[in-house]
Amino acid sequence: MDMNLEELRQKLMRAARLAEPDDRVPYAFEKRIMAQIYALSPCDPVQIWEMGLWRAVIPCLTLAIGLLLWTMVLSPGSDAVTLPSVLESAVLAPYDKLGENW
Amino acid sequence: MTDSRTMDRTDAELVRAVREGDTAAYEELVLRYQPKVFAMARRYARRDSEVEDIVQEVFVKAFQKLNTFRGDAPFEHWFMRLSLRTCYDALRQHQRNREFHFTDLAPEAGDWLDRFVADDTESNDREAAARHLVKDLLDRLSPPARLVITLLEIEDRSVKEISELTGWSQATVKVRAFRARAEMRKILAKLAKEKYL
Repeated sequence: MDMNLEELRQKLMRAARLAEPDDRVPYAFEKRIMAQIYALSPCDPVQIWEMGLWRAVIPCLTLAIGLLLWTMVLSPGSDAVTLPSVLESAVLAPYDKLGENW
Repeated sequence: MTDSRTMDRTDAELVRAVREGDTAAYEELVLRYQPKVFAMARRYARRDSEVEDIVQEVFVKAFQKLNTFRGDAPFEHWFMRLSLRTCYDALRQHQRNREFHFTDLAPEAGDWLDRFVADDTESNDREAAARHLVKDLLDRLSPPARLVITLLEIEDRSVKEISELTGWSQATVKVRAFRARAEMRKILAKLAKEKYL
């Protein structure tokens, strides 16, 4: 049996267009919505704190990875280099020179 | 609780009132838009039991996101866009087996199809049977196909409007429409093959 599928499809679409949209609303639906809205819990300090912690995860991770890469770049190949030793070198650099002048 | 003050206020005024803490003003927005949202949800829900859940989700989401409404377009545009995206999310979430066999057809839909095959002038596109068949067919489409076909061919919206509602580019809308029509023809071909061969 030969059937023109596109014609069938278009006929079905015309039928769908002719159907009136069903916009019936259940009785007192807006009351149920408002009950849900009022029941939405207000923000409590603990919740805000938790949200802040979660939001800080990515920036903290980025900072940690950045610092790690920075220390590796500063002293490539040196296994003994750590952030404290780099910091110590930076802070005591003026005193190293002072010692030489004695 | 609504009163005469809320009945005369514009959408923008009601939104401002809600943002300033007058939660009760939101009820008027619910009353104004719930028929449209129910009509929309019924187009996309696969079961009647899902409709009310979808509409509730729309209004709760809209309330929670009211601060993101910038006011550079009418509230209705922003709200209906949010409604459509919520309906689409529900469509994708509730995807289930979309296999369609001619044995799934209601008897009257099968009769209508028989009349179309015999003589396509005999089958009336005003018949409820045709609408049942369309509903079955739409239920079997993939979510993007169902969305684009509903907006483009049933609601008669332009590609530009669909692009604004969905956030898809106009090119994407056109490609999805093309694929959706092909998907529908494929389903109908399978149906025809099972029923008539």
